[in-house]
Amino acid sequence: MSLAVAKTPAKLPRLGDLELAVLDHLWHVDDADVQETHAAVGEARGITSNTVGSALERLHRKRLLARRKVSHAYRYRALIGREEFRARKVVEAAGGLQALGKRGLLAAFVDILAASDENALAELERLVRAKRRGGTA
Amino acid sequence: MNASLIILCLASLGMIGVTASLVTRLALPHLDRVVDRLAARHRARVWLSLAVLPAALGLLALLAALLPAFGLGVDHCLGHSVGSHHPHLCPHHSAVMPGLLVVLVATAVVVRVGLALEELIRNALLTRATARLLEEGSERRGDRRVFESAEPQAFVLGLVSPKLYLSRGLLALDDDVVAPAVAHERAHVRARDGLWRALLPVFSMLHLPGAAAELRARLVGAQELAADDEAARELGDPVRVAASLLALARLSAPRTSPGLSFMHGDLETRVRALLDPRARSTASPTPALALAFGALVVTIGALHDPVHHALETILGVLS
Repeated sequence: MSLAVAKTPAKLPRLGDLELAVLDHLWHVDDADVQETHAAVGEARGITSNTVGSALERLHRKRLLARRKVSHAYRYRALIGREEFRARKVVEAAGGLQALGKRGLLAAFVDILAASDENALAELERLVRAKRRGGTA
Repeated sequence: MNASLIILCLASLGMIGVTASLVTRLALPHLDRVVDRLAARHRARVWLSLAVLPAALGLLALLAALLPAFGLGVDHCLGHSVGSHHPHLCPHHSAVMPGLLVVLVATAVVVRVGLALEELIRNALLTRATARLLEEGSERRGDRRVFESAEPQAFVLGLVSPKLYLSRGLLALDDDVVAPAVAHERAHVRARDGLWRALLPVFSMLHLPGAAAELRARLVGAQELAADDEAARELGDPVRVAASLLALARLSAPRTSPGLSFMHGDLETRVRALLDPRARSTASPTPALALAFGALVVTIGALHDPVHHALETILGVLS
């Protein structure tokens, strides 16, 4: 029994919908072969086991899955945990989010805080409390 | 169509655009008083319409001026003496190279249009790439995408198909804080506010930069107030939305917030608007805007000969 383990890439690759679904399945079941993955992910999508097998193979080449041969079939498992994968994607997205903010496409949050000092916040909170009590502000 | 006619058309667009932008800029304080009587969502429509006004007016006037070239309207060109060096907005006359000023105005228009389109494409590509990363890094919960972050964040990202993103830090808070933020963001999704903001540079490409920035600020402010209004209606409690805004302001560190965040816009204006909502007209401005546009089309069409003459005269002076 051989185990092919690779280090996950420094920058996570882009994944298609099917690859994401396959990875998500492996996060749930720990490890699976092509037929098991097809039963869980492929049948509902109306795709063949070959297509699911290709997705598993691509994920293996992208160094996101390890595989070992059991009898005549490969069994795959995720090399990266769900939480780590998602956290790294969000970190990668952060640069884009900042750039979008800087480009003026989106209003900047910092402007609001600059315009809302401690006194202003306290006064607004007093108004909210007064309104909740049914009094006049 | 010869090159000189193209240059004359572009310069005409630029002249009309700058004039319309100047008039809009000067009229803004007066327009503020009128538009303020409308509901926030309707205000956003008015600001968008004003953003597109210079480009729309320029194209309309140019089309009207070119009517004789298509065999429609009064053939003004016949009134000109043969061999005159007067610039002609007509492809049937011999091309006269426009003067330097006209070429400069035309160049400025091309640059403005190019920059606006480049900004739109750049922002669209960046939004798509960022949304894809966030999509892969988020857990789907119905129409929500939940991502790992201790900071309380709620925003909408995406132009054509906007999605609502919430951080785990936000979801860990009390529902009194979370529900208004989610309702506010859903209002942005329904109205596709991000798309309109992204398109604004293209709509306002013939505006002077100052006027475009003024309209952008008004549009963003109106969109945020509208999303607050809709959240307050959905929850049936404007004070709860105001309290949520303040709670998030207390919790959030100063930073640039991504997407159409719940915290965007002038916080004090928004809180005061929620606490003391003024009676505003709920009538949609769309029929009035459509009527105004129709009247503009008819007027410019009827006055196509003077428009044609005026443009040629100004182009002649600039040459």
